[in-house]
Amino acid sequence: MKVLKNKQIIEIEWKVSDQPDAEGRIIFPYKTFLANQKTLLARTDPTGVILDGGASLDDIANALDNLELIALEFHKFTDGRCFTLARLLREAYGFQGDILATGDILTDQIAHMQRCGINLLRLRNEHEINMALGALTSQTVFYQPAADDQQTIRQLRYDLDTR
Amino acid sequence: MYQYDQYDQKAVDERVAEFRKQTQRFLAGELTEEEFRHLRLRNGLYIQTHAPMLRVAIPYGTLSSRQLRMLAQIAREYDKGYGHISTRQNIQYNWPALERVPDILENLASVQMHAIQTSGNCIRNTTTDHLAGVAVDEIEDPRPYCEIVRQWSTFHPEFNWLPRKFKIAFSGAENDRAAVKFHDIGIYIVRNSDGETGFKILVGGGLGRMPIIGVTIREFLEKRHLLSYLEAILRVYNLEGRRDNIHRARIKVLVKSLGIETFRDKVEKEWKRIKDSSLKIDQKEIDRVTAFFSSPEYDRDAVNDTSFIEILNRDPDFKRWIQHNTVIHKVPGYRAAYISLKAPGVPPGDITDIQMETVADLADRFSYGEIRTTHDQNLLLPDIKQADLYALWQQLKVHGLATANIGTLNDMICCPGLDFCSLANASSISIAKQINERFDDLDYLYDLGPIKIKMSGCMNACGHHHVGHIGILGVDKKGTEFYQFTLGGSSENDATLGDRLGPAVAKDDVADTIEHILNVYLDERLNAEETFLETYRRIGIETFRERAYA
Repeated sequence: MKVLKNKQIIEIEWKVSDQPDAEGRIIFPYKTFLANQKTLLARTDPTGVILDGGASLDDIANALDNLELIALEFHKFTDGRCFTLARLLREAYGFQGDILATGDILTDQIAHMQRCGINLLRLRNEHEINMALGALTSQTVFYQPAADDQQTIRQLRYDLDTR
Repeated sequence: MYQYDQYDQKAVDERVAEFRKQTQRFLAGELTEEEFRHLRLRNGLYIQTHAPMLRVAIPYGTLSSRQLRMLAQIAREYDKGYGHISTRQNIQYNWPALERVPDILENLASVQMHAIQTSGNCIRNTTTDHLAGVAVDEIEDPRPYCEIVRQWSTFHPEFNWLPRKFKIAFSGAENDRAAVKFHDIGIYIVRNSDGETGFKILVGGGLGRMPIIGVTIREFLEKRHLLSYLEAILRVYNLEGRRDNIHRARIKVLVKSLGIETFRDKVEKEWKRIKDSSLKIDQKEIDRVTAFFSSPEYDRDAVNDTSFIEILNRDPDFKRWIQHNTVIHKVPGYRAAYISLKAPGVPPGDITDIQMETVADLADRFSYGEIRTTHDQNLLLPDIKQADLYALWQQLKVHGLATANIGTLNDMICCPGLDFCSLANASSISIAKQINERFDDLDYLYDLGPIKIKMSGCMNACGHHHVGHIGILGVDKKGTEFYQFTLGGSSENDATLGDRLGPAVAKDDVADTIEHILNVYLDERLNAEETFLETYRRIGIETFRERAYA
């Protein structure tokens, strides 16, 4: 699938499947994952899981070390829960793998998604993929610390003061 | 006043550019109505009955004269020559053209203003006491903390798509003038037993369809933890607030359904994880922001002026204005002066471009160039020398800004209602007019003492009717406007929700009903000192109910 990563459009090999015996880089729906957790965590191929805004991260906390990718599915662009889930995955659970945003996403939202720790973005269509690069640069100064390593405005001010 | 530095300016300028592109994409058909709706709302732009409505933030109600002149210019160039001051320290324009809104935002940015997050399901403009920094009952000036919260909440990457809108208010004084208990998060500056100031945090207050008084989630929070605590509350809300029903989506519903103990446990657990992160505010940052709000160089001689008392004794009209429209100031020899936006015949809270410019000039001349907007939809000049009050009053009179009715029945809070708002069920402005015309005798109004009428044109309660001493709610009954009364509400320290009087009355009967209610008060009060609210609380609703419909 085509995704945006580090300001570049790349093709990733991940595929979505609900067959527990599927081979290769597979992202499993949460239901499939829960029902076959033992099997799936024993896979030697890279494994991912799809969560939506209603997911409980505590329920998959023990599996995080075995997951290379977590896809956060936005059912509706107005549902902001996945922004929090991404931050918690990075900052509370220390998840180091890829976090992919998928579903109903506006290009206008992707800069904030990245700040929250989402590093792969699957846009809705070709046109939006092309627009996405521009959207990422619309905001270049940030008040809040988040899950990325952006300097905050407060830090920049202090750097100015101490220069 | 706070002044933007290069980073604040850049943040706002970038937002203007972004919104300009979004507007172009919408006009070119690249964004759907629904998509653009959410994006424009986050820039203060509604589509209302007649035209778009643009809500501009006046952070914590503080304006410079330069900013007010720009608001006047925008009213003239892009609107019909006036603006509307809201209850939450915003100004609303009712007639801008959609395609010109990016230009308005660019004009605003040139004077360090914006319309960011004044609507939409995100953290709104933080509000506070209009007397901040000059009030005699102030524990500590809340404005630096409002600014710190403004910065933290602006473009928060995680909290831009909340279940519902989110409002925060501060009070730093003994008397709550900011309706703090009716906010999603309400914050009081308090002093602990060691004499240290910090924050008492309330959560889950609000009006609307389900009016609730906020409950205390933390009795005392050290200042350095302000942002981490807010972030913890918002995080729990963002994940767990209901998203299936717009009328059940505010944080008050979550707090109520979990119970405050469970909600608090969740917040505190998350807070413990993040409280020592870079959200922590060090003293250096507090000092840096506080420096922007230092007091002007007050004239120590101001109190020695004798002309003020002389004129006061000579001119009864001036005396009335002083008594009703000015309040005591922390510095002897100064007063803070309200500018009433409730003149007869004018929709409550409306102000023309010329009036704005007049106020800006007067602020420059008499009040260190600073203006405040109040929760009651008036303006305030915070720092007037007593020797200047007479000259100020004379100028205000010329421009229809000296109606001596602050705190009286005619100083109503009123939403735009059916005349402008697409949500409204009934008109509000015409009711305000009816009340204003009926009760036009100032001496009668003064005899009644402080009475707060608050009126909303629908149950969304933008006019805060639940917390009016007399609350009026417009309802639609089979295509006809009716008005339902509540009595005994208050949004202050003694926060109370009003009790319903009885059946709604017809539009033409509103002033009569109020007159009946007032007659009960005048008959029943123990003496002229007992206020309407005190009498109501003493005798209860029955007596009013029996006679209101006579």
